[in-house]
Amino acid sequence: MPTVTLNRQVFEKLAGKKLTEEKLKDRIALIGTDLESLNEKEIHVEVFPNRPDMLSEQGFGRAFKTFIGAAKGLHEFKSESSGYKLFVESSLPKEWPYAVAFIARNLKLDAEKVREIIQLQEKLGMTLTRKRKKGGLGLYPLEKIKFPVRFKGIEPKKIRFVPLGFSKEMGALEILEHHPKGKEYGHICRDWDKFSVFVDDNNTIMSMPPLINSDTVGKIDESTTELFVEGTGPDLNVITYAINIIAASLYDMGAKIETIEMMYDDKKVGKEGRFDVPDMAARKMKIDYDYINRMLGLSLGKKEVNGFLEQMGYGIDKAENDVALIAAYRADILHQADLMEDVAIAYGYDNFTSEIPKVATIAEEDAEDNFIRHVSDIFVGLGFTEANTYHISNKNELINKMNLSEKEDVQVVELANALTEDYNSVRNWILPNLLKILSENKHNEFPQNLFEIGVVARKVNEKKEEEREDKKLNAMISTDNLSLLTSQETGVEEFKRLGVAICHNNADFTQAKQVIEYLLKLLQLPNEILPVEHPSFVPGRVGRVIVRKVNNKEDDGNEVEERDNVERKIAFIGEIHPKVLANFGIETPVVAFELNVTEIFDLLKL
Amino acid sequence: MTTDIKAIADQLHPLERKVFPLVERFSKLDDLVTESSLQQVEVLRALQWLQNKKLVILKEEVKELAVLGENGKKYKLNKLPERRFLEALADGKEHDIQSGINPVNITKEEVNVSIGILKVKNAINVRKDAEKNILFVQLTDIGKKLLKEKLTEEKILEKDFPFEVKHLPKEDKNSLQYLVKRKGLLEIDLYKIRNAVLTDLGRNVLKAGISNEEVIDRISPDLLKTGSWKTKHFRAYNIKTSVSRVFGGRRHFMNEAIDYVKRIWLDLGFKEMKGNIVQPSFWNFDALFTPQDHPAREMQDTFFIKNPNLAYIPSKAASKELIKNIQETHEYGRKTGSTGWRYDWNIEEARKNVLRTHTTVLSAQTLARLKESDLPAKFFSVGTVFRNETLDWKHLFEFHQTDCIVVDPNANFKHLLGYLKDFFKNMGYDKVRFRPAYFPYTNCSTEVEVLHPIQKKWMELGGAGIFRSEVVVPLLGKDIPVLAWGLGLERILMDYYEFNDLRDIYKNDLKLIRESKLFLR
Repeated sequence: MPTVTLNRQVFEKLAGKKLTEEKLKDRIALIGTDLESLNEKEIHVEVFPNRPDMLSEQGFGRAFKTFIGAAKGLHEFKSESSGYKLFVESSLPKEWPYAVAFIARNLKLDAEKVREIIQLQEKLGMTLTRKRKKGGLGLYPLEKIKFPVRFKGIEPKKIRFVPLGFSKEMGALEILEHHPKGKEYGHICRDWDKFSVFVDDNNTIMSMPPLINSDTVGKIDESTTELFVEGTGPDLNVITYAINIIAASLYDMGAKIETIEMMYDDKKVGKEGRFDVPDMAARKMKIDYDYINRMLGLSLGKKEVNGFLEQMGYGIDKAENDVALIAAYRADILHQADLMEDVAIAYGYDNFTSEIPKVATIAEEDAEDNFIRHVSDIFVGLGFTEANTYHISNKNELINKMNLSEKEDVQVVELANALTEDYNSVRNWILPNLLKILSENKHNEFPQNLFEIGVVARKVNEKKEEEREDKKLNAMISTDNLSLLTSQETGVEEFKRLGVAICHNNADFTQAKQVIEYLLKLLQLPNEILPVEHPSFVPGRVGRVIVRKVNNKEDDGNEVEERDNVERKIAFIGEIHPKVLANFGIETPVVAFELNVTEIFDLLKL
Repeated sequence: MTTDIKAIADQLHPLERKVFPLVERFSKLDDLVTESSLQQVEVLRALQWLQNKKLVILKEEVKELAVLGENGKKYKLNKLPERRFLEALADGKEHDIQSGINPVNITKEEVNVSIGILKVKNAINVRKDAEKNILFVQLTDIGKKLLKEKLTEEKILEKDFPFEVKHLPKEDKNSLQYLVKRKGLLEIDLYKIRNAVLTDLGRNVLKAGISNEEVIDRISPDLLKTGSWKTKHFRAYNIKTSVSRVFGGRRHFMNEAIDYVKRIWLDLGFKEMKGNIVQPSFWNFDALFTPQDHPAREMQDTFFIKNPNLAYIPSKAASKELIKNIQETHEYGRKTGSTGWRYDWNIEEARKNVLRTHTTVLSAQTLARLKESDLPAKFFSVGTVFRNETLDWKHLFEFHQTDCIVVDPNANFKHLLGYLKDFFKNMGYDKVRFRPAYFPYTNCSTEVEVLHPIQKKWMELGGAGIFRSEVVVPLLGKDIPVLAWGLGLERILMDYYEFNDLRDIYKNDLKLIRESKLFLR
């Protein structure tokens, strides 16, 4: 969220009423902005991204003025025609086809006002136009420009001008390479066949949006009294809002706003390619009083609702009944609900009573979660300490330190944009995390018997992936299990696993086997442990645990009994290999097992 | 005072009862061992306990004792070798040491030792015949005199062993050292001599009398079987004595807290939602009306999956129809009464797999599966969520959220505030305040803050609002109020356990998990 620094004196003058310190803080919080800090000279606020119109002293002051009751309704705005034209040509790159522009005169700029204008331009660039991806904004001293101005596409190698802050002429590609703005935003236009430029009637290149203005004609300072302001980009809607916000702020700064007529080659834009900018006419939206009252749990009269809307800077249409007039700089009003929200803000969130309705609904815990709690209780009963570790780990710990090979490596789900090597993959098993805990707790009392039940993830294996691509299969999946459905979508399987580690001077295989057999006994799952090879464990002291469930089915005649055996491999169990222990720096024997809880839970449900 | 004395007497352990009265007459440990007929360790244990009760004072003296070695014992009987050597030379003549000395009395090794010793004392002359390579020895005048006198070493050997070194005259100490250096003659051992002395309190307790009757110490199976306890008294224990610590099995405090949170929602009639941590952007963002160019969808905020990087949609959960509805809602609002975001929605962006950034993704998936006949309905989830943050004391890249939705045609904003206040009351926060906020998928969006009861500061613990029609209509097929909130749990835990660092929650310090207070509110 953008933080803006407001000049307190300017702001308070605009707000039209001086509040006590406490009241000011309270009101700023309750209009829907985060107050960061406040002193005699400055106010630092975080403006929510839905209100780019509040990113300046003028915009913030305008919203605040009605909110605190120093004014009401739609803010005044006047403009007249400049008689100038801006030609927007079809030669423009298809990625950057739109432009809007207007003129501001009678500005009495000083260092403070220049700061305010530049801050607004920058903050709008960061938020509304998404770091220039959705638009670029430019300001020019009007006296250096000869109208009409053209916005057109030119091949990069034919473009040469002196970019802002430099003293010599540069080519377009040179600017991309060497100019700080070219380096920062060059990725937006690098691949375009043509670059977009503003050219005036003297054929002077004024700027190359969205990168940089010309140093000769595109630099404003305190001596500037008249401005040419433009916005360009791929989204006419976004740049229109940006331009409206700037126009409103300059108007509130005391400027006289003059419109420019847009002349598009593309006749689908505006009226046959023509329209005036800025168009500050309010948008209209029908007010649904019932909806507002129903959603807020209030019973406000029309007058009250209208009053609250006026407090939030809306006008109430005099010609039409029940219609709100939305200022042309409010980009955030998409729906009736947005009016409702502003009514709630004006009413004051702190003035709502709260209630819990007496609606009968049936509570239900997730069955697997409930099962997991029972399993946890068994381990607490056995004297184990429960761990809770991060899901994000790294391949070194999950694979290399565990003495595993590339084969296991391929199933690890890696992150595309991890910040550190330590945390760049989703864990595919729990035991590495438990060993890490043991390595960090050598100073604590033994025995250190740990368990953790948590989610592990792995890529769906390739064969399954082929099946997954088969769209027919999607239609065939009969499961209603959300986790499986999501795995079908993402290609990542997730399971709940139980990791158990027993660590003390006399830890051995027997103890782990006793524990797993106790657990399976309580779950009434007969088991068998088969010898297996697993590089993380000592050879000859590692097994695969297999459980069987016998389902007795009876046919209609109650005579024939069919036995249906289900068999599942559910765990690895064994003594951790000394090589693995050495990798983790553990000097006490560890015996462990890792069990697929999801599998067991599904088996029990059968 | 008298009751104290009686209490002390009653609490005496059987071992103490045996040893304590003896201290009146004997102070040396050895004597106490002999007199009590107990093992030394038992006497020592009893004395230690008595000392803890301030009934006796244990004193420890370190003594140097001279003890005879194997050779020393032999020489005490058969004289020192140098004496015997002297005697063999008694005739005053020169003897050839290879053949001229009576071998019955003295070994060859002893001859060599004796020559060395006697030479130092100037008792013999030694001459070497270089040609034949033979040594000849002969008594000197001093040697002759020594025949009639005792050597200091001999005087020492004659003493009763062991004896305390400190009693030896100073001038004899060199000779003692000399003997110690010789092989197997004698050693000086350090002995700790322990003495027990009664304190005034001890004397008083004894004076008051300790019953001689046999008291019951441990209750043994035998005692119970025979019923012999009926005729005896139980020794009273000092129950204030500190005992060594034990630890039992313990759940992680985060999970204890999660269970508590779950119970709050279950008590309010909510049903649990579960789902995966890896999710398509479609569910995590698009279904929640988060525009595709929203900053939350950028690399620096969200973890994207490297491989498989793209999800397969449409799918059974995200049908073609649902995707189309969501696309159109983003683009122009479709049937929601909204203008939409007015941009071109791209399914490739929706396919990007992410680690879920909020459990609200589960709320979206639940709405998509909900039938109108199920209403009204309330759902909750507690789960891990992920943000691409650098780990530090106040940022984690994964943490827990609890998310709820209330889907009810009659739900309103006041209910939202009601559920949240009730939840935080259960979590120990009585004062809750709601500030306007912004989330792309809610209206009447609010940040929920609680007043810290001690610090008197507002803590931001979550976000809430009413799902926008743009979220509800495509998923549920109808515009029905859906109250929604998502609250973080870690800050509440940090506050409850007085951690200064969020990372402590997942440090898995076993001492911390074993000994942290229970999560009770």
